[in-house]
Amino acid sequence: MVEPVVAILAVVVAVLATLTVFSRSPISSAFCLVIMMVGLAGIYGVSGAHFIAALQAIVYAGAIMVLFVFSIMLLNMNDETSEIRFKTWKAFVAVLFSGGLCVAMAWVFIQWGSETHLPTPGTMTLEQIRLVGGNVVAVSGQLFSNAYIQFEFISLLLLVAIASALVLAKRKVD
Amino acid sequence: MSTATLLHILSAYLFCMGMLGLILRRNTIVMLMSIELMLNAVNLSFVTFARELAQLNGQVQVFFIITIAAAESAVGLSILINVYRSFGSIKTDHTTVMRS
Repeated sequence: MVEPVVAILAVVVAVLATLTVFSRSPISSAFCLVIMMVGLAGIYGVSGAHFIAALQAIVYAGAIMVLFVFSIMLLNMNDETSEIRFKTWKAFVAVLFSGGLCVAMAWVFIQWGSETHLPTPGTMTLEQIRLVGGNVVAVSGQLFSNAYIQFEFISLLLLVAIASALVLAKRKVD
Repeated sequence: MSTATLLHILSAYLFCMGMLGLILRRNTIVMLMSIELMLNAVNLSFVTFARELAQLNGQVQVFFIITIAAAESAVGLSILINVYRSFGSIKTDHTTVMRS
């Protein structure tokens, strides 16, 4: 059985993703993407991934999308000409390829995504996570025990990203 | 159909939509948004599998993916501003010269 909240959120997210790709002006596509990310945060929250839901709302819908909207306004893109050419063979091949990939992946998930085909589940069920002290406690326990080296490398990557963004933005174009 | 199957199908749809946008659109900023869409599809798949398999490793990976997406969009948008400075446009039709 599908939970009704998840079904409604899934339909909203799918429609908004389509609008993001096909809307003419970049600013309306950015706003569709913001609402889509909030909807995805809702799906994560219903699925029990509370930490990821908060992170999605703060980092994606907050920081990244502000950066996108800021750049759109900075670059002042207000020409709303239809840039997608549907009648070319390239567009036909693209639609055919991604539609085929979508159908193939959905078929694989329906056919082999049930419990009988998946490996044996672990121990962190929703009840177990509740006993540990909540999703945030459980995820950060994993993060700082099994994945702490990756965590340090990610912080290094963020430092490199800040430095490179500064260098790229300050460079004089001759 | 279970909730997990519905979310897997949604993630497949989001990934293919992002790929379609990356191929069809000529505006570089919308192409970057399509990449974000694909990353979100992968995140959704990770979270759904993490719940289905009663493990937390998927959620830890999603944490890393979100961090990498933030770094990627910061660097990508600053490159984009440089492209706009030298070409006066960010459409892929107009940026056809690699030398300065």
